[in-house]
Amino acid sequence: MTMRGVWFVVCILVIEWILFMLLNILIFNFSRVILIENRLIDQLIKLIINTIIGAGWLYSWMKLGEKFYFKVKSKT
Amino acid sequence: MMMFCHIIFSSLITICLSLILTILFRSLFLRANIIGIDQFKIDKPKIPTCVGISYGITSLLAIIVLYLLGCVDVTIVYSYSLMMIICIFVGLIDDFYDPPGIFKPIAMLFAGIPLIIFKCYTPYLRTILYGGYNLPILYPFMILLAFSVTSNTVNMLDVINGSAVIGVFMVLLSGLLASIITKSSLGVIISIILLSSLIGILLFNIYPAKIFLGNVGSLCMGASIAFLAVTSKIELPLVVAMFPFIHNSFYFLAKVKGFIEHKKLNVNITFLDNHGFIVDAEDKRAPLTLLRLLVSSSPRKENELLSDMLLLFTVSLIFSVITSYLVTIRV
Repeated sequence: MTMRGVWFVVCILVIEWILFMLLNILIFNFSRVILIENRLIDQLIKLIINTIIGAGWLYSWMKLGEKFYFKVKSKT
Repeated sequence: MMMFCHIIFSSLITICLSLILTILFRSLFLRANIIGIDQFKIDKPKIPTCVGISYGITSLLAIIVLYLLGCVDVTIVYSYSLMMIICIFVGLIDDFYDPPGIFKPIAMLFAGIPLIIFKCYTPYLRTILYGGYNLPILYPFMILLAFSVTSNTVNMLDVINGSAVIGVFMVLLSGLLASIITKSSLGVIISIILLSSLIGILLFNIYPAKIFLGNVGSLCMGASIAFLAVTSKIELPLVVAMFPFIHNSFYFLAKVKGFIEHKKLNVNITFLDNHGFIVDAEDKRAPLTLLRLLVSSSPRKENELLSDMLLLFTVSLIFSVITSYLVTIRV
């Protein structure tokens, strides 16, 4: 019996939520180390760091979905 | 106690208003022949569309009632009213004039401007365990982006009967729980009112749909989520609650590499077979949307897919509640 598609999506959501939480902690600590003042440049650095890590997170989400999809297709 | 009674009273008025306006717009649009075709039914019924406008109007009137009862500040009324007027205007243009795909993301940036003008925000982004970021310069730009992203992401998941409304309902419910956990009284009030405004639409749009939201409805709903997140300081829990929406939109944008409407995409993502099952089209050029992933293992009926989506939003709601707790903790 094949696993329903919804359970694959639930697995993706669980993994991505854990990653999201870990990245939040990582980003905050990293920002706290390198930034002290609330100037525009500091905020821009925060934004750039967040954007890069956020893009990586979304990329992992995409790859995970594709992997699950092709795994399902190979079984059916 | 008095405040509690006021909220219950305005909530009941809002539910009645929501039902009345939904029925009114349904018959009005049916008579004016403003209809859409339900693609995932064998007999392809004609359903009145753009009825989602009733959500925008109901929530706007409900916020005014809250102000008259002394529950919210006048700046909230001004910013919410202007925001909703912009959403309705953009939605109606998109429904009736069919502008290019880039129109909605750009136009919906403007929906965040009233919040910035009336200063209905604190430029502090709360995160888990450590407090948050102070972003006095960047935060206003993030508000504009939030409005565009949330409204368009809700719009993109309006694919089967009730999918967008169920999603928005669960996100607003997450907003209510997050507001209770983070002790945001404004968040509790706004979430209850927005949930009440959704009741009429929910009853009529759920499978089998008697109305369609139209772009106007989904854009108004998405923008109200952004409004709740910004004014109540529950950005992170609501991002988590919106995971299924994000999943769907991101796969679409990543594959298509641009802002293109579903109907203008020249590939089949899913189709309806002769027995009423929704089937994966297995076209390699098609984006891996949420609906496609759900039917990837076996074809499913529309109502079964709606239950699957409800399950996904429930999982996200649980994560959102945990995230809200983590936001309140300091290490």
